[in-house]
Amino acid sequence: MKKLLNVRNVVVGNEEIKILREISFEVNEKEIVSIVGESGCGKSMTLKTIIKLLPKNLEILSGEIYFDGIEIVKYDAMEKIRGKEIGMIFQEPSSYLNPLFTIGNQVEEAIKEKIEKKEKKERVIKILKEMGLSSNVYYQYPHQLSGGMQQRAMIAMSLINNPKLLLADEPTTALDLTTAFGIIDLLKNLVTKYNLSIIFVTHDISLAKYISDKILVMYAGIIVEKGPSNLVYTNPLHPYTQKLINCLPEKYKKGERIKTIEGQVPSLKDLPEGCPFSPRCEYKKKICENYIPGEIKIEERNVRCFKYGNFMES
Amino acid sequence: MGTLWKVENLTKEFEIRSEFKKIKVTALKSINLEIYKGEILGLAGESGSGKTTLGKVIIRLIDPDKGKIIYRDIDITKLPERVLRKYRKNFQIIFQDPYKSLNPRIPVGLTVMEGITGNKKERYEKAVELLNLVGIKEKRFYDYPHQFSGGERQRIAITRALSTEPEFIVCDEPTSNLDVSIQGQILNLFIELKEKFNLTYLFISHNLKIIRFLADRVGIMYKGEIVEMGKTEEIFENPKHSYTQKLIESSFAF
Repeated sequence: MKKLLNVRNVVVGNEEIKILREISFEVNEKEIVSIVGESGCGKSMTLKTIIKLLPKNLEILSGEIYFDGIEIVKYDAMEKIRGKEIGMIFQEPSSYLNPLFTIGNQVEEAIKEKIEKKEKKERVIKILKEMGLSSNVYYQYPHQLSGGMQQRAMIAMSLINNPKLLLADEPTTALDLTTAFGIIDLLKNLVTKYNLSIIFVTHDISLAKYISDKILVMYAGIIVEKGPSNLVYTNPLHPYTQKLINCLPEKYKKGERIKTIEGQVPSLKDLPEGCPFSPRCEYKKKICENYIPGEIKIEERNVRCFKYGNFMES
Repeated sequence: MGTLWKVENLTKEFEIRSEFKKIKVTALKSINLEIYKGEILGLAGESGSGKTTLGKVIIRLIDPDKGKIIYRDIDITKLPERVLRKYRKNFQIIFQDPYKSLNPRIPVGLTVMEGITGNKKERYEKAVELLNLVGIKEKRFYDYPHQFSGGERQRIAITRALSTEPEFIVCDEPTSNLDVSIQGQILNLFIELKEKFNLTYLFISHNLKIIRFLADRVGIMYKGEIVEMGKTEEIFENPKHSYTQKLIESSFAF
């Protein structure tokens, strides 16, 4: 399999805070990779880093990102890639669609190639149909569509230029389970149909397991565990992943209590010096308080935890 | 178990004015329902199926067009608001979005105090006690809602609901805006509070995984009707209606 995206030791932040710390991962062609974690773990920021749309006060401090052979961090013509090679969809389609223009109008506007109006319209109607919408939607305004249909229109818009990579930021969180299920199956089918790779951000690890080939678990700006979806879900290694899976209500019978994660995600302004998960971790050793664990490869996975590997018991 | 609520033939239509015409939407189609004391009744269905409307009509935040609402043998369908006030404190509602349901300009402690009766000192102490119960410390009594996280705000909304010592609470998707880890904490809290205060819940959610974990009985709504209703285990093991089957299938696919 060919590597499409290769993120190497990326650090994002400013003088005061680091919101992403030494992020490394790869996305192969036709692969779906999920990023999982609680709010404020840096999932969305990872996507914004890849597409280089970080807020003004943050920048990429070090590291390299290779996308299809191009090094993005130092690349200054992102507009050639953004929207063309990399598409993006968001959680609330209604706030990204312009209420004053028809869907057809907005999808057409996204076409970067210079082609005739008639051809544009044909192409838009074709893609709308492929997204499971009727051609009538071309003439409709966003408010006339349901949330699921709006999300399909957004996907159409992001795929109109045949991108190689789609960044999906919780695209189903605001939707009903039945509608969400439709969108997720659509995305899965698009991978083979469009030769597409997807980075899928979600806080639901069971959904991540269903949709993706690989799962990255993030905590406070660090990828604590990454590996094949099935393995990460059925046999999680990092204590955080284990606890995240233990929070799911479907793991419990009626009348039982859910084992939750004590405490909260630390604020990025005062992160613990060592492993960021150590204050909430039951396996905490002294070393965890002072050092951030490096990546260890075990059982086809990369884990950042002192529980694994040979460290002195102290 | 006695019957706490009985709903007969409940119907509600809304009029939607679009550009030039009026469209009538039937939100509830002759709903019949009983809620027993001390149970958790789950209500599932997709958005627009009338779950929230039903919850609101039962506690008369919305008036129904037709039908009867009977609370403890009292027909409250047509009771004027001044008479209904007597009963109002017995039923409460917790909304989905804790960012919108708390007044941003009132310190959370005072929000909770509003529902409590007695002199000022008693009310303060009761509010502190309730907040402590859900895990909010006394030193944060005068903090404003924006200073709290989503999970904490939902805890405060729960405290406010408890402040009037209700026996029945409509929980309208109370965890769907929260992280999975926080969701677990809030669900545990709902169970603890139910046991402590002998509460009855109408728990509305589109997430069948939560419904199966929490509810004693479950009603499945589709286009304003309850298409299937029964004990949770029975519905999940042997769903009869095709819509229920579809809903369960898509919920447990992942």
